[in-house]
Amino acid sequence: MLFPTIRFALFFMVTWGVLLGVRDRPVARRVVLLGASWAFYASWDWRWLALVWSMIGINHVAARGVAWSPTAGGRRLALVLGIGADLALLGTFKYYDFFAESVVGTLDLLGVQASVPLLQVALPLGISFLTFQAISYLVEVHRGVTVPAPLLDEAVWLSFFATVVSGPITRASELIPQLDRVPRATDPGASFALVLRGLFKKVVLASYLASSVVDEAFASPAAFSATEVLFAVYAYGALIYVDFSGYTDIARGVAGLLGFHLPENFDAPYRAASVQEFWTRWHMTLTRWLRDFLFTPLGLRYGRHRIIGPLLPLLIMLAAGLWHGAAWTFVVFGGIHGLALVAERADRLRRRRLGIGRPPDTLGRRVLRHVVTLQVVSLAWLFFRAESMSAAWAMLHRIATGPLATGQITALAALTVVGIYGLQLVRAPAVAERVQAWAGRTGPVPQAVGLAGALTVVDVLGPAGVAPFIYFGF
Amino acid sequence: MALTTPTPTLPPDEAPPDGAPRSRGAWRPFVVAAVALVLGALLNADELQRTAARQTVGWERDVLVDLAAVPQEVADASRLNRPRRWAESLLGTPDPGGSVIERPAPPPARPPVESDVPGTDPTGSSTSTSSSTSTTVPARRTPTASAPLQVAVLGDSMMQVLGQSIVNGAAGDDRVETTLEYRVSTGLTRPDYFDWPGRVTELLASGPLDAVVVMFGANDAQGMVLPTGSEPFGTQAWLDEYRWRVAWVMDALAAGGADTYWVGQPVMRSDSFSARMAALNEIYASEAALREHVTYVDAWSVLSVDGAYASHLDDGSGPTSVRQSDGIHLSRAGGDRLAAVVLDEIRNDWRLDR
Repeated sequence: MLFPTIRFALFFMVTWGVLLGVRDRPVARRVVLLGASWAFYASWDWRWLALVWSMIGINHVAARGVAWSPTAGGRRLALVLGIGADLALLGTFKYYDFFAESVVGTLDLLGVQASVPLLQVALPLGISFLTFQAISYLVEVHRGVTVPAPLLDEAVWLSFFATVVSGPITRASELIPQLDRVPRATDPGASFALVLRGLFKKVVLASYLASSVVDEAFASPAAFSATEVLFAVYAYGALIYVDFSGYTDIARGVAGLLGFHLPENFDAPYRAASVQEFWTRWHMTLTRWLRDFLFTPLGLRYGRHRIIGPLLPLLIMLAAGLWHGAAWTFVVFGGIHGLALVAERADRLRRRRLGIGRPPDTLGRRVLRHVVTLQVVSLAWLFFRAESMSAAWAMLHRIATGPLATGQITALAALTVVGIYGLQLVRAPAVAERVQAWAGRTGPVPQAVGLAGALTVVDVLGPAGVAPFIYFGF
Repeated sequence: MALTTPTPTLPPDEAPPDGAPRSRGAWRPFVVAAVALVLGALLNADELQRTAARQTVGWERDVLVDLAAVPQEVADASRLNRPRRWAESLLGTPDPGGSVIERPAPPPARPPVESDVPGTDPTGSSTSTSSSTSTTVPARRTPTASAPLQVAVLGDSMMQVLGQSIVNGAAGDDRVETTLEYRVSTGLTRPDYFDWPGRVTELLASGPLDAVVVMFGANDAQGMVLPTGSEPFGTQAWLDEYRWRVAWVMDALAAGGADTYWVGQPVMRSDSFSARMAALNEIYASEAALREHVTYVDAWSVLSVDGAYASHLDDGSGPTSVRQSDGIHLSRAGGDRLAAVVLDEIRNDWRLDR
């Protein structure tokens, strides 16, 4: 059940209406939300519910073990066992076949014929997001930031239909307290605006870029010129932004209508002037997770290590790349970001050691930093999107050696890509906010007319049928 | 290190006095959304009707079509569907047409062509077809860099990866020029969604084609709307009609002077879906066998192990994934493997030595 469908709209309205009907009964609210979330998840494959139930059960028991063990060793053991079980589930579904194929391929290169049975099972949607949320819960309980939640609350949080498939990656400590407020929207106008903005990004912009520029160029680079392939790479950077941030906007919007406040996930990422800054603006809840549960604890432990210390960003970004998908292209994606972070960190440390500050921030230097950052990020996107390493090399080879024709780049496509990047670089006038504020002051009838009109515009401009969100695969 | 995000405070006029939600205004955004959706249904009544008609033929589709007729009637009476119609005409959105296909007139027989290849029968022999049309064996020219072989690659979402692999596989040979056109969720059972016979006619009229690679079927194992009513998949009437449509496309391509390479469906992970695909493959293969200008490419044997589904096949360097996780579509490696077979057939027929 994709967000931009009539089916989801009906599902959401029924869920919302029933929640409002039981809004004075706390347990009933939670049960309704849980039932709706499980129905939403089961709409893809009901068998995947077993995974959600396993996650809920494992982490419920582990969290209590962590909180109630009388000794520090016992708490630590419960934490390790809980995280180990979460990672075992993730590893089984997502990574087993990848590693088995890699091992067999490597042995084959060495002349050793090996055969490893493959699981060949479909990857449950959202398993990576579920795992990260579950781990954050156990660690927060271990750190004393939060206490073990009642089973029903934990189940509602982990299963919540707005976040279960592609985030944002929330924490028990920020979402469970909000269950007492559901289903009262704190700012319905802003939530409606988020939904509409997300629909426009996904249904109109992302669909257009995917079908008219990106898919064909990545599949058959030989049929395009060097300029066109390069343009497709930049177009993919724009596409994945509107696709993923569009999904997040819709998720935050529908959650907001139910009274939930979900964390921001994007903040004009292509405005970044360094790769480090990029990760403070792109998929912010993932960055927050990596910072709090990998970088900070590992930094405290290995930060002063002569070899591991400087390479820590690289190691973490390699893991982040692998989190996105079980393929070498994702490892390279993480590696490119990791190396850039290592280089930026080394430069900062060198300047600090030599006592030289940053050079004056001239316009030229700012532009240069933006341009360099965009090239690094775009190179990483090329590997992220490529179907295989050989496909990525074919793209790079075409960019390096192909002709310079631009005949297949339409003015509309160029305008769309430039617009998506450009609107992040300049401070856009707050027209949307003013319209939203004005709409909030009007009566319900003009609001409903405006909403219906906006939905019509999105539907007319979008294609018939919508492709799944890119981040569903992770 | 702040690990928690503070929850937003409620506006003063709506803040509950004692932690309990207050009822006032709670329904208002819901009512706004509900009215917007109803109004949206009226503004987009035409598209709702089309969406309902695109569903799989069966009782659910019948119910949806009946339900969609309600906003359609209201929108017609109130003219609320006019803005969308006006916007679509402005944008040039094509009208997909009705849900029942009129049987197109049988294509004319292929005209005999003078052969420029020594040893080739210039006229060929007439072949019998189950659709009562007759075609003749084509005379093949010799493709060159200045007059390359014009190959159109047509199909549904299965053709996306396969077609891209065919385009890639032919890219290094300047004697072959490929064009790929795939339409997701299409086939021969639902011309109301996309009219492939009509598209084939358009393509043939737009310029000469030497060869056409075709792959349909993955979306075709569903009910069909016939002039006599809905027909569920697998009945004799359904099979007869589907066979007729397959034959029509084959004969239309022949009449347009193109060789056809009809790619069958591969084995699927689902046994029941595989059985349906096998039934369609029998139609493709048997109709192709009746026509000398049509080559049936057996994807089933190319992408299976002893006829059974395999997500991975050994490519000489260990197991390689040949299918996508849905157990239906091809991975890039699977597409490449099948494309190599298709291209070999084309090269052999057209004497394109590497």
